[in-house]
Amino acid sequence: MSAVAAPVAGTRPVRGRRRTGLGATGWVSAAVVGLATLVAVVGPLVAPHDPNQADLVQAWIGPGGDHLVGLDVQGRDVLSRILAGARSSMLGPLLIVVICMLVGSLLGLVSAWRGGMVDAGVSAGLDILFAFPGVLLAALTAAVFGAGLWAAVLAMAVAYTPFVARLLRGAMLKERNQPYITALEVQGLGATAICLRHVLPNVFPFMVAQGSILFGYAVLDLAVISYLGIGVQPPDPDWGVMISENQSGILLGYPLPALCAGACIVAVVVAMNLLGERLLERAGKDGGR
Amino acid sequence: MPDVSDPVLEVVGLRKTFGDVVAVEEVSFAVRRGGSLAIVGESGSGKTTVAKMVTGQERPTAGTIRACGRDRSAPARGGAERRLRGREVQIVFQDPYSSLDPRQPVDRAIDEVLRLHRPDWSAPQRAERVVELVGMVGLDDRQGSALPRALSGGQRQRVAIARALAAEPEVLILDESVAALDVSIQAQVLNLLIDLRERLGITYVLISHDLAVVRQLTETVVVMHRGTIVERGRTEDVLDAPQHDYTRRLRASVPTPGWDLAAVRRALHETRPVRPLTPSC
Repeated sequence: MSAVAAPVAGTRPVRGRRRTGLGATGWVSAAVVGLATLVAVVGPLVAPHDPNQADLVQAWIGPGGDHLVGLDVQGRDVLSRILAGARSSMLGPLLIVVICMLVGSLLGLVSAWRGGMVDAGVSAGLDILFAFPGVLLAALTAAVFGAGLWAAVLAMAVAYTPFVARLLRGAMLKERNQPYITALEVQGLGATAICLRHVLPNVFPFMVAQGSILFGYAVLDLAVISYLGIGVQPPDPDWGVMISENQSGILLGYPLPALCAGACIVAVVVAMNLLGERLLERAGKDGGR
Repeated sequence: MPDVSDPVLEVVGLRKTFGDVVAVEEVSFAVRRGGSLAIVGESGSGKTTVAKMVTGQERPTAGTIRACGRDRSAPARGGAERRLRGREVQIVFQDPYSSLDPRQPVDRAIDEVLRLHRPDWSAPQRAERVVELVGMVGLDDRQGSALPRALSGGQRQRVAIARALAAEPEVLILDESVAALDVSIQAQVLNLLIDLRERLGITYVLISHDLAVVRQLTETVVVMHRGTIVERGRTEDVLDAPQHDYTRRLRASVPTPGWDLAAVRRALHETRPVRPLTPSC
C-alpha cells in the first residue's frame, strides 16, 4: 500500500516553476473575447448608423463611402448591425453560462457531498433532462412564452444544466475525496463551510474553464435558434438573425452581410473554445496534486 | 491484553461489512490515557477501516466506540457534538500531498481550526497560538506562512500534525503517517512524534505495517489479519516473541541486514502449505 505510494510521491514534478501564462494562442483568444465583450458593451453607442434604419432601394449595396461593410437585404448598415447585434449575441450566452454554473454547481455539490440516494435521484433527474435536445426545448419555450431572447436563454440553460451538473459533480467528488476534506470533517467543520471555503474555491478554475467552452457552444446554439426564427426576433440586430435575413444574398452574389455575421460567430466560438482549453490545462496543472 | 484502567479510547466488538464482504469483525481494544497502541497488519487487513470508524468517516455495522468516555458509534448530531468529537480524536493521514488544501497557506489552515474550536479567542490570541504550533512541529515562520506547494513532503506532514494538534485532541490517530516519507525524513518526523508525546501526554493510535516504526512509537500492539485481531500484547513481547503464525510471517518479511528470503519462504510455507498448482477453471 504505502510501499507503492512512496515512489509515486517521490516522482512528483517539482512545483517551484509554475507556468502561469496562457501561451500565444491563449492570449490571442483572450483578446478576441475581450474585443467581443467590449463591443457588446459599447457597440450600440458607437454604431455609425441606426442599425434598424431600412432603405430597400439601397439593398445589397457593397462596401464603400459611408458604409464600411455595405448594406444588407433591407438596405441597413451591416457594420452597425454587427456592432449592435453583439449585445444579444454575447449577453445571451453569458446568461446561459451563469445560470448553468449556478444551478449545476449546486446540484453537483449536493450529489457529490451527500452521495447515495440523493446522488442517484439527482442523476436520474438529469438523465431525463438530457433526453431533450436544446433546440426542441427552445421551440417549446418559444411556444409557451413567445419567441425571444429570454425564452431561448431559458431553454438553453435548461438544456445545458445536466451537462454542467454532471461535469461539476465529477470534479467536486474528486475534491470531496481528498484527505484534506476528510481532515476538516474530522475537525468538526460543517459541510456548508467546507463546501464554500474549500471545495468551491478549488473547483472554481475548472468552472471558469468549462464555462468558457460552454459559452462557445451557447453562442452557436443561440445563433441557430435565432436563425430558425424562434430566438431574437427581427428586426432586432443579432448575428444569428443577420445570417437568416441575408442568406438569400449568398445565392444572389452578395454574401458579405451573412458572412460578416458568420465570421463574428466563428471568431467568438473558436476563441472561447481555445481559451477554455488553455484555462482547463492551467486548472489541471494548478489543482492537480 | 492487560486490563486498561482509565481508557481514553475503547472499542468493543467492532464489526463492519461492505455488502457481503466482512471487512472488520469482533475487534476490541482499549488505550489508556497517554498510552499508545499500534494496529499492525498487511494491506486489506481492515486496520484503516477501524481508523475510519474511530474518526467517524465510516459507521460501524455493530459494536461500540467510546472516546473520553463518550460514545461515538453513531454519526454526530449537530455542530457542537461534531466539534466536541474533533477535540477528542484527530487523525494524520498517509499522503502529505493531498492532506492540505492547496490554496490555503499553513497559518490560515491552522487558524481555521482554532477559530472552530476556540471561538472565544481573539485574532491576536489565535495568531500567537499558530506561531506556537508551527514552532512546536519544527517549522520556521517563513514555512508557517507558505502555501503547501512550497513545502516538502516531510514539512507538509509536520503541518498536518500541527493542524491536528490545534484541536488539542486526547487521541491522535497516525494512519501510516510516516510511510510515504523518505527514510531520513521519516526518522525526523518519528522523533517529533515521540517528543510531542512526551510534552503533551497525548495518546497515539498508530496504524502501520512498518514494524520498525511500531517498535519506536508504541507500547502496546494489536495484530490484525483478515479483519480480526489475531494477536495482542506489549509491543516488545509481540515483536520479539510472536505467538501467532501470521505475526511471525509479518516479522520475517521485514528486510534486515542478512535478510534470508529462503527463511521467509519457509515461514510462509509453515503456515500456508504449498498446494500443487491445479487449474481452477
